[in-house]
Amino acid sequence: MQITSLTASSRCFSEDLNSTPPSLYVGIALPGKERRRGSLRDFIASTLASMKTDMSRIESVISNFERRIDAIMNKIDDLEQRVSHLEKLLGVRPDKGKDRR
Amino acid sequence: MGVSIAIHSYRGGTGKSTTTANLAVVLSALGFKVVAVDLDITSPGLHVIFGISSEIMKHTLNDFLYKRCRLEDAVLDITSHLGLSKGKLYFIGSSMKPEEIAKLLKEGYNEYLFKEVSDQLINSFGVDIVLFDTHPGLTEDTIISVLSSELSLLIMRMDKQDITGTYITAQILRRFKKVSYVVLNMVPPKLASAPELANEVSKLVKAPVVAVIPFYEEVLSHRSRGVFVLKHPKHPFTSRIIKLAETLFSLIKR
Repeated sequence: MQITSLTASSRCFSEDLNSTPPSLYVGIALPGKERRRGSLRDFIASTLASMKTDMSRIESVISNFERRIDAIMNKIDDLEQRVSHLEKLLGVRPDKGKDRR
Repeated sequence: MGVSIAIHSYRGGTGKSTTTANLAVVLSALGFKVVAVDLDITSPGLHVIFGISSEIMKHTLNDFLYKRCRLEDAVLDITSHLGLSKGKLYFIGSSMKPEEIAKLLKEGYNEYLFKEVSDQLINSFGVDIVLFDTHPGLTEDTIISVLSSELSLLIMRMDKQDITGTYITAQILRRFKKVSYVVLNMVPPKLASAPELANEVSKLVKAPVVAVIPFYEEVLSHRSRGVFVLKHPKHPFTSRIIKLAETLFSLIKR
């Protein structure tokens, strides 16, 4: 009873309870203690087993991401060098306190 | 209506417990009734940050999981212990005793009880926010604790192991139709200042980034001796946690 009512409260946070694969909430609503015991674990195991993960594709996605992050870092380094150069030209002391964001 | 939030990460050492403890304090300081639950049942430690000794913790989550006590017996009111003048902060700890951890690993537990914890806290005790500090990784027990909450905060650092692991974790959570948000933690300060960082990570993991927290030497030096935001209320880390709490509040309100 308690579990069923929580299920209802969870609905506003889930995207679409009717689409496949079966949602967690279906498992929770199973009746009877014996049937309930282990069913969530089974559900998790079967969902994970059905994922067919393409690791080489993931590695390629992550490598592309890393390259974009490197580009951001290089841009910041470049900006810092320019600022430091300008500070030298103008005789301005760098503000060390800036690091504490 | 209350909400339960799992604070999770693919790898250990990302700052889950630190984030949980500090966020819990800030949310209660904002006036909420908050419960922090140590669901890292195989390597608990949240009580250390809160400065709670095993003597004070008469009952733990382990006792509840094995029906040795009622849930309310395992709930500690730590509001005054932490000197909070606003809101309410409660804590449910897990046992650090090796024999208790071994029992959990050997015998398991009823996996629906995690859900029942947040259920009871929200529906019977009128709690606004339940924060679950989970065990890292993708083990069945960890996934159970994440699935037992309404939304999850994935804490990740900007290193390749974490990025890859978080990408996969987010994929799994989408498969289970769980709503997740990302917190970038211990980010190199230079990178943290880049406005495009959050957007790049959001695009990668297909989940919104709700906070970018730079690496702060002071947080590391604090060494989990108490809740950082209480000892350093004016530190930029504290400002980031307050901002995260406000963002979460606006998301929950929606």
